[in-house]
Amino acid sequence: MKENTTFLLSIELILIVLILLYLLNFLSTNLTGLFVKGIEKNWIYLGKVKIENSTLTLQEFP
Amino acid sequence: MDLKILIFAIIVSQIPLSYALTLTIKKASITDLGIEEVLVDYGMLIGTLRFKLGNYTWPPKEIWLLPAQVNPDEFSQGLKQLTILELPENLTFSTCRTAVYFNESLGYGFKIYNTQTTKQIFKNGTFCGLAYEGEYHVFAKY
Repeated sequence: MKENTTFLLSIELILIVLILLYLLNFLSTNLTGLFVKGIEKNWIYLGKVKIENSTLTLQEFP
Repeated sequence: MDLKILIFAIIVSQIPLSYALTLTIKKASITDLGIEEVLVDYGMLIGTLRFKLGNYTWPPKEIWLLPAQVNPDEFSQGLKQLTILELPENLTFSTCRTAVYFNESLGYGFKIYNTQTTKQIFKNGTFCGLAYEGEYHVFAKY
């Protein structure tokens, strides 16, 4: 009985750690821009461009 | 037998393209490589960007291409310039000299700016930069 409880607790701990890691990764990749966009002094965000090898990309900014 | 052919095909498919350019030079003989056009492993971005205040306009001081929406100052903090991408001087209106930075957690970033000897951002806001293949977020400093 005690072994079972310990086992379940360790599974829970692993799951919690995994969820925390997922959340951390999500926040760092998706939400960073929200804090930066339009807030930082002297910097302006213009948009996204796609660059391809050996290709000339013409970009018009609004 | 089929397995051997499959293994051979896999090995051959993994040989880098540069092997196609391998040649042998023999003593006292002329080797003609012929005409080769090799694609470069970067692309070019051009455009025009000006800031406006009333009737005044001015070009950006720096333009950054970054792999994520992060402040360029934060992205480059503590980083050393990895390399320079640059075109030959007589090729186009600018050498498009671009500094390459590498951030371990985010990837490559490219800084387009004027140096004492080269011009990438002109007074009318026209600029030119080089970057490796990929999608980037563009930031400009005013």
